[in-house]
Amino acid sequence: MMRQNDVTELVLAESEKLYKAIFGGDIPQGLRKRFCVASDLLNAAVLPTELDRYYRAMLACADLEALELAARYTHRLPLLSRKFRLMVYLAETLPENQPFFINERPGFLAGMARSAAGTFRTVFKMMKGLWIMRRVAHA
Amino acid sequence: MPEIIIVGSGAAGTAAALALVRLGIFPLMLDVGQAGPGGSPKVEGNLYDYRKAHDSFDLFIGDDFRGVSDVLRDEVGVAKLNAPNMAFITEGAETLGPVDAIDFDPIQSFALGGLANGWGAGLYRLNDADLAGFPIRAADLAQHFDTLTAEIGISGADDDLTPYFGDTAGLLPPLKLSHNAARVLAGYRGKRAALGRRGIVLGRPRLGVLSVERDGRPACDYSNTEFWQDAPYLYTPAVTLKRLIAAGQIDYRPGVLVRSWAETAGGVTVTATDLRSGQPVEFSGRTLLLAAGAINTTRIVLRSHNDFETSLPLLENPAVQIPFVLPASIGHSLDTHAFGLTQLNLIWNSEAFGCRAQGSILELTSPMRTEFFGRFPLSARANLGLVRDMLPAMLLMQLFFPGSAQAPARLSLKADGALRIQGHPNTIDVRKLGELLAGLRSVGLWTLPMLIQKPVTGHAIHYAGTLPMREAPGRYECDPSGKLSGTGHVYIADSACFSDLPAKNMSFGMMANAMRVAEAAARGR
Repeated sequence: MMRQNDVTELVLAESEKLYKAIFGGDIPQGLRKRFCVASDLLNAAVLPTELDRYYRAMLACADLEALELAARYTHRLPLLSRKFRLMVYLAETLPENQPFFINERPGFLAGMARSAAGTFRTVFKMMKGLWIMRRVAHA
Repeated sequence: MPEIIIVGSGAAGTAAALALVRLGIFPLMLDVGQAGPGGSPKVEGNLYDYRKAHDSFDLFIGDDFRGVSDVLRDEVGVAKLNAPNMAFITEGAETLGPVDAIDFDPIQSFALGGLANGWGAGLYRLNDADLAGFPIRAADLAQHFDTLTAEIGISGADDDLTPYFGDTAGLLPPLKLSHNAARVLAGYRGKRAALGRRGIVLGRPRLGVLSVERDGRPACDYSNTEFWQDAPYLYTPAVTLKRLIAAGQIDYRPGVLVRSWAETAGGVTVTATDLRSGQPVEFSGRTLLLAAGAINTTRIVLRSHNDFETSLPLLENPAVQIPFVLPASIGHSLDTHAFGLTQLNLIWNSEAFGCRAQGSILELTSPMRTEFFGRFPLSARANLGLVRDMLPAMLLMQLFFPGSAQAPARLSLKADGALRIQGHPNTIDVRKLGELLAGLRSVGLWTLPMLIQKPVTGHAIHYAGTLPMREAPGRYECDPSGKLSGTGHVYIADSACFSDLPAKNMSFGMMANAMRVAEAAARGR
């Protein structure tokens, strides 16, 4: 079982991994602090066993995007999906992140192409995520 | 001794006060009156210009992380009420109005102006079809609708929905439609006859939103800020209330939580708690108008009767939320200059459900983009892409059914003062929406049934029918004037006295009826 001070360090590492998984870069310093506070609030309402399972899976996994997708559809590790949403909410408040959320240039074909690419990405990530979940389960 | 005491400052209480002031009667208004927002930033100008130039954490989330409370508590709330600037609307409700609820999530307000501080300002005249089951007719409300139309400033159009929404006299021009809504309305015009055969009618909403400057209030600036802060062009009853208070026409007492009343030889004595001191306090008047919201008005009534046994019916509009994509708009740039709430209304005379449903078609340009991130079915990064490319092509319809479409909840008072509400899960059968969805595909609105959501019962925030008006009222019912049966001086001015709950948004009808009841109370005092 995780000790409380281990969890605090884990939240810092967790914030970096989550942000990188979703946005692909390093997490801004101010956002990391906010996420840590919010994550502590979320963790406080979760059973220790679920928290433990989540952190072990999150630390062991190199591809959190794949893991989250598979976990979402198999209804396992619901905490991971909540952490993803929390990170995205907080990230959206930063002015430098607006291009991730707002499309200011119209382009039907480009939009359709990106959506199609996202669908293919999802299929690949789902297969990978299911494989990761089996490995984590047997670890 | 005041002639008339009003309890509550929401839409009904304010409308009742307006009616009395017009008669030369200056009422005493008792209210908790939680103050409006302080400390959270306000956007001057367009929301999207603000977002690009400022860290919007304090605007969207807040230091208490209220804006992400749904994620933290793993529940589905009402997103607009989580905004930091809107937090005051529901502040303290759990303590001031405790409820022990099953399968019903009541939303209560003890703010000055009540829940209407966060409304979408949809204001629709009730007609005789809506009032079937009531002991009053539309003609009984007509003059009050006219008075309120002049007071509020309502924008709308004379279109296919006029037979449902009533007289267009006094309306301001309709708001400018968003890109997507304009496309839908254009598609509808070409398919009007075919959609009519499916029972579907589309048109402009009636909104308490100024399309032109009026009485010192500016016209809508299409800034997309309506989700996050009060907007001077979006009417809330607080506008009227503050004007009447400033003019000395209402004796307004905030910080007072009314508990019960007792009738005396000369009128009523109201027992309340002074929230600053915690001490009991009494007020006496000739007549009492209860307008604390259906749930709290009923609490006061049951407590006044010391009744911990009776359970009363509580109506609510069951609803579904249907996200739509306009394929032709995929990849379109986000409509950053739009009115961020209701764009269009829909009436569906449904054979499948055997009733009339009303839909509000909303833009999605005002809420945080992340509200929809978790609802898309792809991987996280792909969902982020959909937020950028798909959301600008989407609209959301909230489709409301009449209260009779679902068994009413039951409300009773517990010995500890909390209300017990036993509700029902939202039982609307989405499989019966096929006819509607097929019709809307013909105007370019596409969805998947798996994406349709059923809000928790209670989240339509239209509560009514606990103390219904009847021609021959029994216990815990009102006569057609709104007087509570068995009393000589107590009137019910809010939606607690509604005999039924049509699918049409009840706010305007409740306000008009509150004026009618107030006038009856003034005559009967």
